[in-house]
Amino acid sequence: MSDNYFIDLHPFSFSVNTALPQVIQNLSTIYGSRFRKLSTEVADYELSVQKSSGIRSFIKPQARFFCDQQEPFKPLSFQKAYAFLEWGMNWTVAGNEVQHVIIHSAVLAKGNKAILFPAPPGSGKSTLTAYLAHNGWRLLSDEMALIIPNTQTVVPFVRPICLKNQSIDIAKTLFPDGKFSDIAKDTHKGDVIHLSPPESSWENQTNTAELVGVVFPNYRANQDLQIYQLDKTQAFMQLVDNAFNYSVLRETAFSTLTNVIENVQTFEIFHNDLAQVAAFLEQEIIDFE
Amino acid sequence: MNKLSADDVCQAFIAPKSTLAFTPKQWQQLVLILRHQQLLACYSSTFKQAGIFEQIPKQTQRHFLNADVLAQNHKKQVVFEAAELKRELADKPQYLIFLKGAGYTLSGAPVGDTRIYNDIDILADKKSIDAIEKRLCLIGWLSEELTEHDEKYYRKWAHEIPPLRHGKRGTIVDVHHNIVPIISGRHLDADKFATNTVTTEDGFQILSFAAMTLHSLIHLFFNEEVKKGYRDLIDLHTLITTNNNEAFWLDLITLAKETDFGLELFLACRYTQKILKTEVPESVQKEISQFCPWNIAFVDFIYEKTLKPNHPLCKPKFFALAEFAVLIRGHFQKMPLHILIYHLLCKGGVSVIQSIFGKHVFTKELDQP
Repeated sequence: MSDNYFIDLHPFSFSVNTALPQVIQNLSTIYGSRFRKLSTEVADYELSVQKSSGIRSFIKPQARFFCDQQEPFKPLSFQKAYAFLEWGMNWTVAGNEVQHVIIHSAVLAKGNKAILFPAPPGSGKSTLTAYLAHNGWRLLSDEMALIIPNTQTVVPFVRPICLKNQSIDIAKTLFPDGKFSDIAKDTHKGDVIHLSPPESSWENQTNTAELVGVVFPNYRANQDLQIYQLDKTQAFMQLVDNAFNYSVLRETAFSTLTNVIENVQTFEIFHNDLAQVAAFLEQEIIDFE
Repeated sequence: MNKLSADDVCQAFIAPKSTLAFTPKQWQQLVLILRHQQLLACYSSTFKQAGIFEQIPKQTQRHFLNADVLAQNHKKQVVFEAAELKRELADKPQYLIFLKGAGYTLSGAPVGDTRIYNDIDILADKKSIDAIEKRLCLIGWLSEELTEHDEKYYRKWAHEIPPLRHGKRGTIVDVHHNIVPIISGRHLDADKFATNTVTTEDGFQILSFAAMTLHSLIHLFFNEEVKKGYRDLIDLHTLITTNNNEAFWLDLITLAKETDFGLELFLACRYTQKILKTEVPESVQKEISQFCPWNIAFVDFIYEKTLKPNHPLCKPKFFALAEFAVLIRGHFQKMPLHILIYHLLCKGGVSVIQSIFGKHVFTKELDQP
């Protein structure tokens, strides 16, 4: 029997209809008290994850994702159902929400000073995110930075950290007490696991922060910490490339991102040591001024 | 707590103040239904004009504001694509007319204000179609993979060529050489119909409002599908309401008679009046009553159900039956019986297999969310 659940994820909320125990269990591990049976809450989006029907469901079952009546993706193999839902939530927000300039980027803050970490997959961004979130920083977001138009203010959209391939073992060693989801094997990003950020990040789920830096991280196994100051044009173009709704928000997105870039420090870093990166960020960006 | 009915959704459009009694849950249902019908931005504008937008719960307001931005962006995108098509095809066809949604948008009239649609429809003279297809192919508009049956259907029987999709931007263009399928035997003299056009300030060719309205109502009532029926009915309502003058009606009625689509005009006026309380002058009603069909009770049964907002939350009783009747009626209108049977066997075979083995039995797994 499928049931309706509610996930309260400031500033958006979702209802999820599913009968799949693995989805329910993973949601409960990752979202804790923010995940519950739906009662009178009014959700922004109605999602559902179902097992596909027909004979195929006995031989090689698949999971299907729906956003209300829409099925935006082709089905995935059954064991990826939870990861599928996470991506579906990203898709839903990216496709519908245009009250913020949304950057494909992690955001972490110390106090109310925040740093953006936009980076392509494979750059070690999520491992860095997980490390910082467990070492005195608070996570505002792992994948989607919501910037209020024409300000430097970031609205948290706290979600699990999505770790891939080798980072899975590293994270499990680094954070033995972490709340991990099951591993989704062989996705388009390789093997994927979701890690719930520490409780302090969840508790500050509604507290905005002000951007003071944009850092493009690159993990290189054989490279000691190297830091390059990025010029404003380069940094701006990289932000544009990572903006989900730049083409929709047009002038608003342009003015917001130029304003951000002009008022924050911008770096590209190469590293093989997370602690060194954390020290650099704190000394040079957070404690700067 | 009451579930929103299809009539409540219509009422919200006709008399926006009726929504002020909605509970937050009912607002949520309204948003779901309207998003599904691509009408969020349309209702947003209705609520703003009625001066009640500020009284809508904040959480719901955000969904309408999002839709406003997306609709504005959609408009800009369409104008961009239309300019691209106009420039690239400048020397090809005798005429290049933007139809349906794109036509509404380019007209600058209220009917195009909040309209969201998935493809851009153009009409060109039949002789130029090959040249247009080749030219579009050259600049990145390609036909998607089709089954053999679909390819044949388009090339032999349809009034358009298979949809072309831009490889980079993902925009879809439907190139038409008639507004009604050739196989129906009801197709009209496209070159003659194409004289009912105006050129917009930006130099785009679109149909005159009378011809635009005729095309819109043919598309709705001479069709086997009404999935977006309510939205199409709102288009007709807006076109009628914003052009409600003698010259418009004279042109529209003349055009409907010439092209033999009087019945469809009658139905359009009947259901906009019934469902959206559209004002149609009495003289017009009298004039078109000659087109009232003998089986009006049956036609009422199917359209009074299927032209209302259609979402699982608010489906009226016997909706599926009515929808099926539209499917049958539409197919019968469009195809002679022997071709219809062949078409249904080809299409039906696939659905039978899907219903036994699962909807995605033919779908290759593609890990690309």
